[in-house]
Amino acid sequence: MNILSVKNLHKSFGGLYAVIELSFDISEGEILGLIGPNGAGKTTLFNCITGFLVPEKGEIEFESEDLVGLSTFQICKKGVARTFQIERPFLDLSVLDNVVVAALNRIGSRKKATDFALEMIDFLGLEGQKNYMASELTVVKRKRLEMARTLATQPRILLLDEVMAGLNPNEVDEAVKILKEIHKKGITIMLIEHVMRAVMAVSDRIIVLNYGAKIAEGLPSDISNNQKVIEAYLGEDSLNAQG
Amino acid sequence: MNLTLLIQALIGGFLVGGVYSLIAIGLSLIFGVMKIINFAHGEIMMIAMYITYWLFVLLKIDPIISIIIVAPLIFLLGYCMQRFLVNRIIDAPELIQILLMLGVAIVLTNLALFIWGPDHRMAATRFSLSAIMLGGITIDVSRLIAFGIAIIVSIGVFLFLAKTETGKMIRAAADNRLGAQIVGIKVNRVYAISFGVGSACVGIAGALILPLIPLDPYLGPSYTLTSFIIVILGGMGSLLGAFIGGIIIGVAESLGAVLLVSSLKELVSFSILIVILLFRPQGLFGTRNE
Amino acid sequence: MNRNSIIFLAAVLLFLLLLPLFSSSALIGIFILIFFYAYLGQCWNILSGYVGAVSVGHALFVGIGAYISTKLALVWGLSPWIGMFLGGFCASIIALFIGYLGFRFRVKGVYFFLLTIAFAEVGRLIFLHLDVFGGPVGIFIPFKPSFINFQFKGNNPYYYIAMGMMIFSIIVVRIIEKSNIGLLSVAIREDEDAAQSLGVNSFKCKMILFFISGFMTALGGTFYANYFYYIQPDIVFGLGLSVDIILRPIVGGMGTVFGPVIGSFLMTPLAEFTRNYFAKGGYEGLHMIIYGIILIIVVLFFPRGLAPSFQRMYRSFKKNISKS
Repeated sequence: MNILSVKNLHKSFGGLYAVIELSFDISEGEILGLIGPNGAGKTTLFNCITGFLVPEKGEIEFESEDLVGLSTFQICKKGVARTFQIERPFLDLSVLDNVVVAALNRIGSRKKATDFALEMIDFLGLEGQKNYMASELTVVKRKRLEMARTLATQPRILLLDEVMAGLNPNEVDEAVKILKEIHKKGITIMLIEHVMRAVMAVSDRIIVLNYGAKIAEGLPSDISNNQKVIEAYLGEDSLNAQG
Repeated sequence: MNLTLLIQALIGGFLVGGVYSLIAIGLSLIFGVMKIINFAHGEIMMIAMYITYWLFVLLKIDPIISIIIVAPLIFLLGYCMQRFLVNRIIDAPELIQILLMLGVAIVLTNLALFIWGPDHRMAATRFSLSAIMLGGITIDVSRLIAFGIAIIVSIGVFLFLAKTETGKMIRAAADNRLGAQIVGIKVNRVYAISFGVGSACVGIAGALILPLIPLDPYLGPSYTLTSFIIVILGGMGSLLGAFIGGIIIGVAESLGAVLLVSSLKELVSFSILIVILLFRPQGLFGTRNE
Repeated sequence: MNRNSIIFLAAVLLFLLLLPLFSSSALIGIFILIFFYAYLGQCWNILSGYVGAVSVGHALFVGIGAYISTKLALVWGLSPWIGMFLGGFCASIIALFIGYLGFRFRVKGVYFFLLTIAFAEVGRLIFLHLDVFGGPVGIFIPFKPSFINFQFKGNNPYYYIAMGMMIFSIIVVRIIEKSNIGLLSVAIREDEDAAQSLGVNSFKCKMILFFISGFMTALGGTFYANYFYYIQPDIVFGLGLSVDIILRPIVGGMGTVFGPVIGSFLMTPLAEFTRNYFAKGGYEGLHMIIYGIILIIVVLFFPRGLAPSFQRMYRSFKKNISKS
C-alpha cells in the first residue's frame, strides 16, 4: 500500500529546473533515503510535498488524496510533517511550548497537548531542558527539538531534512536509534541525508537525485555500487577539492 | 469635462512627477543599500525647504541657485544621521528601525515648529507668476524648471552610481554586504554616504518644490507617504522604478484632482498603493523574492 | 502569578480606585489619558504584539468607532453605550476585510505597515469628504451630561470608565496569552513558515486577533468622542494617532501583558508634562522634541521595550536573593 506517491513532478525557478519529471512511491512503514549532491533538488522536493512551493506540473498523492494546492498547515493536518534543514525553533518560546504548539495540531485540549508534548520531549531526551528558552539550546539539542515538534503533530509520514548534519559519530548512532524507534511506532519516514553511514544503516530503499532528476533507485547495497551515483558524487567531490 | 483642462493637468502632473521621482529615488537608494525604510524622508525635505526659504528671504538667493548650498548641507545631515543613529540599529527588526526614524521625524518636525513657528510660508520667486502659453495650455515656468533640474539630478545620481568608484562601492555594499566587507570596502562609510546622497536627493527636491507648494512644519508625513507609494509602485530598491513611479503618481494625482475633487487626489495614490501591495508587491520593476 | 505580584496588583488597584478622592482634576485628566492610551495600546498589542502583524493604521478603528457611535447618538438619540458596540462591529468587519486582503496575499512586514497606513488614510480622506459626517469641520458633540449619553460633569466618571476599559483590556490580553490561540500566535510571530508546517492555521489566527483588536479599538473611539466632545477626521483617523497608539506598547514591550500599560504610564505623563510645561512658556514644539529624543533613546537602548528588561532585572534579582 503506497502512502505517498509522486508523479511527474516538475518545479523550476526562473527557467532553472530544480525537480524534473520525478516519480516515486513510498509504501506504508517504509524508510526511504533520499540522497544526492548539493543542489540536486532534494529540499525543493520536500518544499513541494509540504506546500511551501507549488509545482508547475505533476501530482503528489498522500493516501490517495492530492496534496498539490493545499496549504502547508492543511498538509500537516493530513499527516505529513517535516523538519527543516536549518532548525527553525520558535526562539521566544520555551522548549515545552515549542512542542505544545505542534501537539495542538491533533489535540484540542491544552492539558492533553502538554502531556503529549512532554512525552515527546522525554522520547528525545530533552526533559532536562524543557523549561529552557529555545534560543538557549545548543545546535544538537535544537535538532532534537525539531524532531520532537514534528513528532508531536502525530504524522503518518515524516520528512526529515538532514537531521544528522553536524552531529559527531556517537550522536549519529543515537539519532539512528531514535529513527528506528520512530519507525517502530508505525511512522513512515523519508529522509534527506548526507551522512552515508546513517542512510545506509536505516533505509529500506534509496533514491538518488542529481540535477533534479532521479538517477538511481534501489536497495542500499545496490546504490553503493551504482556507477552513476559514484560519478555524481565524485564529480561533486572533485569540484569541492578544487574549490 | 474640458479637454484643455485635462491636458493641462496631465502636463502639470508630469512635471511635478519629475520632482516626486527625485524624492523617491532618495528613498529607494537608502532602502536599496541599507534595507532601512526612512520614515523621516518627508521631514528631511521639509528642513531643506526651510533652509532654501530663508536663503531666499534673507539673502535673496533663488531656490534653484541655493541647491548648491542646500545639497551639501542635507548630505551632511543624512550622513550624520546614518553615522550616529541609523547605523546602531542596522540589524534590528524593521519595526525598531521605523520607530527610530519616526523619532527622528518627530524631532525634525518640532524643531522646525520651535524655530520657525506653525505659519504657512510661500516663496514667491521671480518665476512664480510666469507661465508659457501653448495653444490655450498654460505651463508654469517654475514647474518646468523644477522638472528639468530634477531630471538632471536624477541622471546625475544614476551616473554617480554607475561610473564613480564610490558609486560602485555603494552598489557592491547594496548587493552583498558581507562580500563588500571581505573585499575591503568600508561598509559603514559607504552606508553613511548613501544615506547622505539619498537625503541630498530629497533635499534638492525640496528646494525645487518650494516655489510650488506652501511650506509648514507638518508637510513631511504626506511626502513620506507619497514617496513610499512611488517606491512600492516602482519596486523597492529599484531606482528606475522610483523614477517612473514618480511620474506615474504625479500624473495620477493631478488627474485625480481634476476628475474628482482636488483634496481627493491622495485617494488615487492610496488606492494605487493598495492594489499594488495586493497584486504585485514586488512593484513594477522589482524582482520577486521567493 | 505568585502571591507577591497579586498583592502588588491589588495595592495598585486600590490606590487607583481611591486616587480621585485626594487629587486635582488636572492630575485625574492625565490619568484618564494614561488609561486611554494603555487601553488602545493593548488593543493594538493583541494583533501586532502577539501575532506580529504590525499595524500602523489603528487610528482607522478609533475613527470608525468615534464617528459611528456619535452619529447614531446625534441622529437617532441612540445611547453611545449601545452605539459603541455597533461601531465596534463595523470596525471588526473592516478589520476582517483588511486582514483578508493582507493575510491572503501574504502581505508582511513593511508592506503590511503600509497597507494599514493606506487604509487608514483612505478612511480619513473619505470622512473628510462626507458632508453627513461634518466633512473637514468635524462634529462638535453637544454637552448633555447623563449616564445614557456617556457624558458627565467633571472628570471622575471618565476616570473610572477609562480605568475599567484598561483593566478589561489587560484581562482580555491575559486570557488570549494563556489560550491556545495566544501560544499559536507567538509561534506565528516567531516563524510563520515553521508554525504552518506544524499544522498552525496562521490565516485563521491572525483573522481572529484582528477581529478582536479592531472591535476593541473602536470602543476606544467612542470614549474619545465623548470625552473630548469633538471629532475630526485628521485627528481620529490620522497617522499621528496611529503612531501614538503603537508608541506606548513598543516602549513598554509589545507581546507582553503589561508592556502597553507600563509604556503608557511612562510616555503619557511625559508627553503631558512636557507639553504643559513648555507650551505654556511659549516654546511650541519643544515638548515634542524632547518626546522624540526620548523615543530615539528608548529605541536605541531598549529595542525590545522596557517590560522584558524589567523582567530580566527581576529574574536576576530573584536569582541573587535565592543564592545568598
